[in-house]
Amino acid sequence: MNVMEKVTRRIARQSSRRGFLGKLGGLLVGAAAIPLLPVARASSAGPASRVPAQSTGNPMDPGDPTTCEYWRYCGIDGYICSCCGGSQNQCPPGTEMSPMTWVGTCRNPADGKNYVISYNDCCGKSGCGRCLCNRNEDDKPVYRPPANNDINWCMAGSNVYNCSTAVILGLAEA
Amino acid sequence: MSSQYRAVRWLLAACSLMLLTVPVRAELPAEPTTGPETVVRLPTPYPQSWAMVHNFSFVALIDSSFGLVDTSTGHFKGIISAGQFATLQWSQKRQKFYVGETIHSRGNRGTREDLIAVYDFENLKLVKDIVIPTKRANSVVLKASTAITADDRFLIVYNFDGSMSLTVIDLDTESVVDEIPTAGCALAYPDTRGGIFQLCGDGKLAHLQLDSRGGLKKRTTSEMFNDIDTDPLSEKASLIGQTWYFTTYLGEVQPIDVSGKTPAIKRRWWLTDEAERKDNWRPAGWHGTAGDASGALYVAMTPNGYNGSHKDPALEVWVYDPSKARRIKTIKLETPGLSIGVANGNQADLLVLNVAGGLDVYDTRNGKLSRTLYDIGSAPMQVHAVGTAQ
Repeated sequence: MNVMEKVTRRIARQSSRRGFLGKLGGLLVGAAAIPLLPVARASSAGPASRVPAQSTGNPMDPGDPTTCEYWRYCGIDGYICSCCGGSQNQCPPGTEMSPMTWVGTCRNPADGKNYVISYNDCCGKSGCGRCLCNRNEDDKPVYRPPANNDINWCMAGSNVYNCSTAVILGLAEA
Repeated sequence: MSSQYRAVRWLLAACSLMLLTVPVRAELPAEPTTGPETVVRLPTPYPQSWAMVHNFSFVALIDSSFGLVDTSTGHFKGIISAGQFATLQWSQKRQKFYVGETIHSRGNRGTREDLIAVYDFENLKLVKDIVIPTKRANSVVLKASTAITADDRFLIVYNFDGSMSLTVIDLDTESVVDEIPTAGCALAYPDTRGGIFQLCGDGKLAHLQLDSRGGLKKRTTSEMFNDIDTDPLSEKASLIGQTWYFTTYLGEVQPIDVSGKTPAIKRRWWLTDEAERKDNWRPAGWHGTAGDASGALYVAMTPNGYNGSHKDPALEVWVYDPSKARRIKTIKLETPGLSIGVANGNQADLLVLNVAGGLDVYDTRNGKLSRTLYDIGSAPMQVHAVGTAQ
């Protein structure tokens, strides 16, 4: 058993599954500067991150929107717009927000409520390349598009993908 | 004669002998810089150990590629360039690759153009650009986004631009012949008779028979069999013999027999026993299924599964005899894996794209890692065993 296997197995055994890829992604990026892959989550997070922390400024919207662990990102797949000149709900300058998208449901730890999150892609410039994050909570296969995060949703205007936002649409229980 | 003098004489004699026995090396000849000899040609058909690695190029999506490698030697044989969200199909009969791609007239902006770019096996050279409707699905690496019918006649391209349809391309004429609306149903899985089936958002399956010109001859729809809300079928399936094997998120196998006139949805079986399910062993990876020449089914697995773990890296690959619904082998991965494939004919080498960006080649006879291929792209996410039939 090599070092990588020992480490990953130990992580897999000891951690919650939710944190597994985050730690693995941090391990890979930090230890070996290995290419970031969509499934190697949390390239944005952890000690290896060089991205300055951000805050929404609202205690009811807790966490750092530049990290993969931010609560709204439970189903995101792509570059986090907060790291790319935009924010958790705005696109970077010069891009445009895709009106077509997929939606997920994430639990806000501040109030314990589930919110419907719209993962609108920002389009019109090439990939931002910062803070790649892939989480797949409630992600369904491609044959159910409104619940799938593998689709390039930049399809109404420009087809060139830049980054992804996580916009609150409302309470899931409403 | 002094000992010093004798030594010098011996040395001179030895040097003379060397001059007599060693031929004088000729100077290296000039080498061509023009003409066909300046470019490597590949042997065709390819050896069974060759594979195409899909570099999704997450850091530069508009410039992806496919790298051809010999998995038995580790040698890199060449690449095919591709635009964004590319797909790959190939025909052994025609000895051609068919690359689906989306490009823009000014690189990262301008007018969108969707293409099927045709390349020959021998030269990896562009033979033809087939312009297709600008609606091909742009998805992260997904094999079932395109398909070639079993009679090797038509290439099917799944479209998604908010609505769903299929573009049909005649491979004899290398031209678009039809577009078939497929409302609610996606992707394309070939049957054995020249048709395809799709998975639908309502949990049903749609089967499409094509006529001789590539038009829709007949569509049939199954009963609901796929509980998408509770435990959906992953779309990353493998055809082994005449049966497609799908895995569900929680770990059931759904065989779909395509030997008959319409697909037969067969009895499901579990990949795991009760103890393994308690530990939440589940299918994982980006494309976590494969089959070999003997009919064995390979599934990438991870323990401690949870809501959202279906694309996590896999720690093991479990091998099954699907005719008996029984596991016959477990291969523990040296490095967690993303996507798997099987190459090299009867030797059945397991190919695993690992999370470190390398391609691991395992000997399935003993489960040991034989070699790792490095530097095969910035984001290798899929491996296609192009040295074998699809």
